[in-house]
Amino acid sequence: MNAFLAVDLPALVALLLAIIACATVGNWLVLRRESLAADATAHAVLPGLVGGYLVTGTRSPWAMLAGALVAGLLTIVLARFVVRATRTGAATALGVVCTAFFALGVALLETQGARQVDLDPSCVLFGSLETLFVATRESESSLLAWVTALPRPIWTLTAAAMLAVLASVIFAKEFAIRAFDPSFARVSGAAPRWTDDTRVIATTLAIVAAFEAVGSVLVIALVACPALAAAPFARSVRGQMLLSIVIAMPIAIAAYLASAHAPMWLGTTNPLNAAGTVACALAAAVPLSHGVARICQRKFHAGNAFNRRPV
Amino acid sequence: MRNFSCGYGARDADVVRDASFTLESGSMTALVGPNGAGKSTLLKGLLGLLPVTPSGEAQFFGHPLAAVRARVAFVPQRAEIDWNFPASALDVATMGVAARLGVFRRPSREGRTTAMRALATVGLEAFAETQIGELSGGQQQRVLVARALAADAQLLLLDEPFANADMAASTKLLATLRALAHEGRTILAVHHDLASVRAHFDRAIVVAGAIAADGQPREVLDPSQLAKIYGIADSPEGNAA
Amino acid sequence: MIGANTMLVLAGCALFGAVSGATGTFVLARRRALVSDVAGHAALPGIASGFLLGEVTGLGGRSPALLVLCATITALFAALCVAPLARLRRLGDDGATATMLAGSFGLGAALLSIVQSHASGAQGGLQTLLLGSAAAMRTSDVVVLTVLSLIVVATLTVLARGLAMVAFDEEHARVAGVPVRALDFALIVLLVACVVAGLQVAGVVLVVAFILTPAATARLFAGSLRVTALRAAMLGTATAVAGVLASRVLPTFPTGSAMTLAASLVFFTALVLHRKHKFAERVA
Repeated sequence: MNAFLAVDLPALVALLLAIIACATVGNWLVLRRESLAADATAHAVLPGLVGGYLVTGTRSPWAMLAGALVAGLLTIVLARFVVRATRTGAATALGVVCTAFFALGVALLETQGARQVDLDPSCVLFGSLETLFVATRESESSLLAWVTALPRPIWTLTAAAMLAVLASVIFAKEFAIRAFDPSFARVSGAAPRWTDDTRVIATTLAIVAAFEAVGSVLVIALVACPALAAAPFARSVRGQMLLSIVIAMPIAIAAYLASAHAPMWLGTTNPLNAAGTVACALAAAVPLSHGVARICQRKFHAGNAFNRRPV
Repeated sequence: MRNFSCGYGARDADVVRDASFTLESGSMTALVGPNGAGKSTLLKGLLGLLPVTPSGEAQFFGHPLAAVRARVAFVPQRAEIDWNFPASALDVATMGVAARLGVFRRPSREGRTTAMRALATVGLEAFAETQIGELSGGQQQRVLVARALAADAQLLLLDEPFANADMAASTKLLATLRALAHEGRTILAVHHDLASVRAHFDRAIVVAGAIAADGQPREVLDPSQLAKIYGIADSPEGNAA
Repeated sequence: MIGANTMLVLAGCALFGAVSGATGTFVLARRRALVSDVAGHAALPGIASGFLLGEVTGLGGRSPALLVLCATITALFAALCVAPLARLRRLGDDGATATMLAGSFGLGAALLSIVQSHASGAQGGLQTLLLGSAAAMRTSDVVVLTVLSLIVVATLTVLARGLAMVAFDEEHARVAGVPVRALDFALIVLLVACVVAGLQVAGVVLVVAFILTPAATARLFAGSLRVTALRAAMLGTATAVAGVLASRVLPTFPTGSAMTLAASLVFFTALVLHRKHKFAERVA
């Protein structure tokens, strides 16, 4: 099997799945002005990962995933409690809680001798894009063989992405009503609490599943940047969601390929960090997209402020 | 609504004590009073929108709010909404229709027609496809009212709907509210313009730490009364905070 | 007994706790909590380019002064970009912060991978950046921290009144002739200085805890901005000292985490007390 099929294509598949999972849940976060949820979750899940290992005594990814999920949800619950109980802002509350969790995680890691948990910093930060490869025997070169040989993190990510999309489709109106105006939603009973809880669980799951494959830095970018880049052109929630994925995919693919192959053209041997490059590219797309939107607006809506219709 | 007393949990003590009043259907009532006297707090407390649940009893159509949510709608202050949300005026009005459906249902074609009608009632049918961020302030306020209408609310509670509205916008909104009251719906609005209250509302409830007066605007809002009420608001007792 | 090394670490961390508590109070009052997160993460591209610059100019890739300088420049740049970006119509504070954070850290990662192909040992550098190395503090570090603390405290004292006015009512302050933008700029500079100094003490993630947590605790209680800043500084010092001592008693316990957990414990205790107090008042 050639290098592309064995190494690059699985990584690209992981990347695209991560985009679907994270951009879907990310759109709701951005609409609710919670773009930094992934950053907070990234810090907060550390004790969960370590805890999962300590409780089960194994390096089972399911235990660690479960632990991460619990830690992520607990952070959100605690942060909301802090906001309700005091006048602390939401951002500060989240910052206080997630750094506390991170500190706890690091402490557990060091004191419980959990170093075998395989949580070296670069893996946590940048995921395992470079290690997601497919290895099949020479005799098995069919598509089916390739697919079934995809590494497990890709399957977890697929499940998380499907859940995210499903939740967004089923509860689209509830999420939108709540995101636009929570007080109206509360009074009219339009979006019952359990629908929002479902969203939070699907979000945390998508984020945690994506961490494993692409690392926390890229997940933070994937959750916020596609939606933010799509926002200036969006005329509906669904439009923003679709546009965010359409924008993110080519950028991510181009950035990944550039990080893998461009250095070789420039003469150095080592590829650039894939996750970091993609994250940087997606972030750059945000102000660029806003700039493009502003130019388009000026060209096609000259004098809009003055010919607006009367009240 | 009887013997309703609510407080703002984050600050000290109760901001509004022992508020007690009953609204009649088909009426337009204004909550007036000095700034910071608790008008919005009272409204939000009634609806369970404050961080700390107030003590006391609020009954809507003879039942607690949870039982009759379908008949009640809240129109928040314009400033509390992020108008950059990607939605058209029709989309927001449709949210009102969607609010009445169960969790797994979608608004049908009929639903969108209802939403269009609601927009027409507030005079915004020409702006149905316009992004809400491109509407003027007065139009944005009316979109929120349209949403409440599309939800077929019998009781509308509005928080400062005339804040920052110019004369044209206020006139249009007042006309809309009048028409709704005529249909038999009940309107309760926090309002600060006393002249407008005197001219257009059936009843004024003056809130200044407690209910200081309640009745016909002509009686309640005469100059000597007002001096007393706004004078009361300056004393430590009135603000209770 | 407390050895000389421990005294050093205690001094350094206590100073840092005080300075970050005080700065954090003003940062929270101006609602710029998220900027501390950006500044921390944006130090990475600076450190990586500092490495590369060092190699290229022959200064040696590990010159600490160069690294700190470059880190400060990139952190400051990113921090200053947040506010203008946030003004874009459909971006907002949270969106601008997420973009700058992800973008700068991603760039840093990419640059770091270039460094890794040239110099070795950058991997260990990443670990230190993430978690800090308070225990490895040297006399020179404490000296730098002392100087920094004096400068920051002096600046804050001078700017306190202006900052308080702006925090209370920005429009009013602007009309009254207070140089709002200059004050904001100064505050961001102070914040970045704290963050870069804190990178060595606590690492990228936990430095944010030092800026936010003692200040958030102090703000639970009533008081003027100046009084709150003082309380936050004292809390910062106390929790830092407690953390260092705890990590001495329990040898494997990392210092940065101990300090953060101490500060968080104090915050949650204060929160519970605050609620009890409020509840008692309402009932009475």
